Order: sequence, then C-alpha cells, then structure tokens
Amino acid sequence: MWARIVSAIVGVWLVASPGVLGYGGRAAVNDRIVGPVIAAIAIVAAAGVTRELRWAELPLGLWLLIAPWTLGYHNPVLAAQSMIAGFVLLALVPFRGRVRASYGGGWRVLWSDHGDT
Amino acid sequence: MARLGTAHHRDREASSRHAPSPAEQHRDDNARAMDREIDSALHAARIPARGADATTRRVDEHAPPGWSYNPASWRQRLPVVALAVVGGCVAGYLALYQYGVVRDVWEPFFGDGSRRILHSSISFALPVSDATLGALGYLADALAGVIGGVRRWRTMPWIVVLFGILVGPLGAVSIALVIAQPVVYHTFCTLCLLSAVISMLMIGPAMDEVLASLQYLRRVSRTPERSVWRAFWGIGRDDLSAPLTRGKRGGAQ
Repeated sequence: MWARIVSAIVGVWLVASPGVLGYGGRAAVNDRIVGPVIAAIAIVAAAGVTRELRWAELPLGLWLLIAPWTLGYHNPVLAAQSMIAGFVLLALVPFRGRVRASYGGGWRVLWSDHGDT
Repeated sequence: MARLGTAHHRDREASSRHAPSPAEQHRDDNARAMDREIDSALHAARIPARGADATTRRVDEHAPPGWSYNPASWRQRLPVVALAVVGGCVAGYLALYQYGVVRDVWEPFFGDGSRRILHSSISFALPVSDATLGALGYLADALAGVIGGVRRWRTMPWIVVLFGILVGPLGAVSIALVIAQPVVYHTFCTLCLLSAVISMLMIGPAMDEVLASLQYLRRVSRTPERSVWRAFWGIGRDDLSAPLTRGKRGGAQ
C-alpha cells in the first residue's frame, strides 16, 4: 500500500514540478503527460483486487530513465529528476504489499483452462 | 439457517399430507411463504454480526467460491456509490458554471485556471460540455452501483459488467483531461483535478465485483449443460442456485 502511495506522489510531483521549478519545453510536456498516468495507475493498483496493475508502472519507469536522452534534456537537474523518478518507480513495483482478502484465484482464473488457481 | 427452515417446513408438510383440502393447501402455502420470510430475516440479521467481526475471517455465505468476502455486499458497494455521488455533484457544479447558471467557479489555487479551462474549446468539443458528460457518467455509475441485491455478482452479471465498463471510460477521459490542462492550456482547474481523482478512486473498489461475475461466467462456461448467455442475463435463477462443483468444472474440459 505504501509503495502505491509513494508511486502516486511521484506522479503528482511530475505534474506539479514544471510549475514549482519553473521549466518548460519537452521536459515539462513529458512530465505532465507521464505524471497523471503514473498517479492513476498507482491509485487503481492500491485496491487489493487490482494490485497486479502495479506492473504497468514498469514501462513508465523505464521511459523516465531514458527520456532525458531520447528527448534531449539540456538541464542536468531535469535529467536527474526524471531518472530519480524512474528509479523510484522501478524500485517500488516489486513491493506488492499485504492483501488480506482472497479473490477466488484472481484474474488468472478467467483465462486458465484448469479451474481455480 | 436454511436447513432449520427446511426441517420446520417438512414437518408442516407431513402434518398436512393426510388432509390435502384446498383450504389447507392454501394455509400450507402461506406457511411456506412465512418460512421463507423468517429465513431471510434471520439471514439479514446475521450479516452485520459477521461483517463487524472481520478479524475472524468468517466467510459471508453470499461470498463467491474462494472469496473471503462478498464484493456485492452493501458495505463494499456503498463507498463506490458515495464517491460517484460526490463526483456527480462536482461535475454538475462545473457544468452549471459552463452554461452560465452559476456566475463564478471556485478556484483556490490556479487563478483564472478553472475559468479558462472550463470555457476552452476542448470542453465544448462535443455538443454538450465535458463536465455535463462527466456528471451523466457519475450518475450512470451511481445507478449501476445501487441496482441489484447482495448476490448480484451471480444473479445479474450484466449490471455488474456494465458497472465495470462505465467506471473505466470515465476514469480514462478524466486522465486525458488532466493531461490536456497543463499541456494545452498551461494551467489547472482544481475541481476538475478533484473529479479525476474521484473517478480513479472508484475503479479499484468497483473491479472486485466485476471479477466475481467474470469468474462465475467462466465457471458456467466450463459446465456443459449451462449457458453463459442465460447466466449473463440472470435467466433461470433457480437453476443458478445449484453450486458448480469442482468435479463438474474439471469434466467440462
């Protein structure tokens, strides 16, 4: 749960950062697009039944790592910010957190051929 | 509880068997109806006691097989419905501002951000404003959330699936608008952000019921004599009350 909260904060920070630190250009556009998606995934994945959706943060984290080079950030502070955000996201994905409820085998039951789990 | 009711019921049947006059038959039917009422009343009285004692992890009898709780219980559904109502109020207020019914809009952080965004071309890209569509979306979510009883994951999968489908796009559109605000207009709208957060918060808690319904339909599909179509629409409910055994499921392969 805390891992999802921290991921959501990373997303919200990316949205707010261009306004707070006062930058524009490609870095700002990228952060303002990726940020809401990160926060949205984190909020949905906070629910026990959709906890596996946290893996969708993986490509976003990887993208934040390579975005400074792909998009050509000139400011090293913005490049560092993007990479730190990406690292944090990637590091948090494996932390599933505790899910107390059981869901009859979960989503995988739907496409497995052998019944529950 | 149901077993107790049935035994009681059987006694009554035995005593009336020697005198099957129409009047007695009628009385017997009444007694049966009463038994059913007593059963359901006892049942209803028992659910809160179990819900309150969550630490013992006793399974609600309406819980789907393999589930620790019933996702269609009111305790699970009402928070999502409450979020939809709050979201609907926020979106409705923004729509009233967009059409000039409300003179000004509440905006504590971003100056004229709300005014600019709510009167932007994206907001009016469709025949009705985006906040109006949002309010209608929340209304549909709230309705789809309250329709049906505590067994609806099994008795009416169609409404549960519809509920899941309605919650999804509302969230997706909200996120697209949250991205558009700073990228296109370089400002934010506080209540629009609040609405987006509400629509995100609704998705996770709504999905457990959808999963329960889909698992149920999957079990039906593995049972040769059962029709997924009929199960989806909840046709032939008496038939549905028969448990789907693991043996049957395995045999369907």
